[in-house]
Amino acid sequence: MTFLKSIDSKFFHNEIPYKPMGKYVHFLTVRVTESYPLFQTDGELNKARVSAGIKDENKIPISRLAMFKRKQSTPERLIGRELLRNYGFMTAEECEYNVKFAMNNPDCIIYGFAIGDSGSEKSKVVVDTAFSITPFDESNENFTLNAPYENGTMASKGEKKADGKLDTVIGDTTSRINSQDHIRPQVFFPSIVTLKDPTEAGFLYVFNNLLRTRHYGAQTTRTGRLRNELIGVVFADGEITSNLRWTQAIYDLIPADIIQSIDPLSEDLVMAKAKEAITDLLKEEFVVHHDFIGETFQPLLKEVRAITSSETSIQTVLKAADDEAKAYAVKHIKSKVEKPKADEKPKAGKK
Amino acid sequence: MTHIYRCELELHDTLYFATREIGRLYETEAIVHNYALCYALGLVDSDRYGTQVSKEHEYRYFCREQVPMYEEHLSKLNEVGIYVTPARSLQHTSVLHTWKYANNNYHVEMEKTQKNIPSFGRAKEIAPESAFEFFILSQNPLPKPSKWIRLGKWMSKAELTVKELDKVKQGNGDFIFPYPLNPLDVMFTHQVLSYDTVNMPPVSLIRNVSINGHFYEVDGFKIPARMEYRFKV
Repeated sequence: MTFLKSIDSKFFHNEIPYKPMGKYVHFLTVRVTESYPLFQTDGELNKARVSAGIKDENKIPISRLAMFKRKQSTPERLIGRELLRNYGFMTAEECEYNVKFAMNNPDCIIYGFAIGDSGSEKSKVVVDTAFSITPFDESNENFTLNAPYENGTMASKGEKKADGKLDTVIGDTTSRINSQDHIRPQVFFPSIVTLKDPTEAGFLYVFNNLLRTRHYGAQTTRTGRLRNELIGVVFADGEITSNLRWTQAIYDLIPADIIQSIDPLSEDLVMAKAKEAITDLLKEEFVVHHDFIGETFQPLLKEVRAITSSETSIQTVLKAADDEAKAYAVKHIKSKVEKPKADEKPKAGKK
Repeated sequence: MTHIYRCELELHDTLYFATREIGRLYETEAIVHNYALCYALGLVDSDRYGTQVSKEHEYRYFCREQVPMYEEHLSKLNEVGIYVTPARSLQHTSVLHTWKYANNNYHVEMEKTQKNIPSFGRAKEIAPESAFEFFILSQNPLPKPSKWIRLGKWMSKAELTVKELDKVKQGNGDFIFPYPLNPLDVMFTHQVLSYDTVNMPPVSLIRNVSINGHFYEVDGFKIPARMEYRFKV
């Protein structure tokens, strides 16, 4: 079945191949923060010291905020899994992320898994660390956090805990106070998401996850709102430029007085420069590529939005992706898992 | 006539692989093993380079076992006369990162650990914009490799620039090779006199090698000749 009319079906496989076949689709996204996300691991925000731009005059090192690859792909695959469960393609019992992989649904096959004794599936989605366009010091803000009592103060007036004991001595100030760096709103992270050997349904599955994922970063906070602004897709027979190079190229194109001002960058300017930068960078690549960027991308985006926002058509896409994953699992995973088991005697002591 | 290519890698993302594990600290040494480079460069099981392997050993998305097949894969490179040296760092910086598994449940309770799988740890990684250098020796001219390759456990993107060295002379005798070498690949054809060891799996490397045997010479720089992948003594 074909879903898309605006692009040629030659970019897709008819079934999920068992070997890398050299078909790549690169989703060009600019991730825009809309509230105060947190990307941190050691109690401070992740950052990287890299050159500001590519041009000689911009080759000075600056600290940039970094959004690690796993912090991008995990929320996206969780969104896909949510949908699969919602429409009954898998249950929470049979497949749980990082706990138990069912090995036969679109999430497992497209994004991969690794289970010690049952083998591993390599991820067909590859994401790289994304870097903020603006320097670290202009892109973060420090907040003080506290957990006040119901009366609105930090001083104890005799509040009791669940077990009936006093929370702290009356009149004492609680120690529930901390400060935390947050990423500011309207910080831009150009990021290329690469999908290898896509089928049409697989392409739509990943596309949909990108469009729908709204929260990234620390899951226990409620402030990680982030929007993926897709500016295009590139079908190619190999890898294209890196997030770092793209970010540096955008930095070069933004006038110095704008980048050095303390105001956030304007989204229109960033999107225009992002398109310009990637178009220039793609000219230097020596892979065969078909670009859908800017104007040429609009019909495809419109079509995908229509498919993913209708209950019947998203179900058809998920069904197709699920059927392909099941067919792949039977052909390349299951048959081989069961064969040795039939011949083998059960080992003593093993369940 | 052997073609020698000098290759430079620039990292565009943090690079991580476990050279050594110290409790929950996983350290990345700033040397890229030559086995890893062969895979990253796409030289293994490739129609383009004539290194297709038998069906049971072929590269697949699904891997039944986590057992490396270096011998089955890399012996094919010997047949077509391609050899890649380990990469040394030209300049690098390291960063420490903590990683942990995400949890998807709404409600989490602490349970006793049942499996001995670390759910968090610290990884010392090589920072973006670090650069590495290595050599490819090939019997036949190599088709242009891709500009972007992926390395390490997180498949980090790196930019590859390749330059063929010209006016290659051959010779025989004592010389010093300052860069890393895979001892298995050189000890059967050369006499290795002294070296420093770099401990890393699966085969520890040596560097600052004082060596006797055949070499190629380019502008006074000598590189061991006749190296190939060897697995058994």
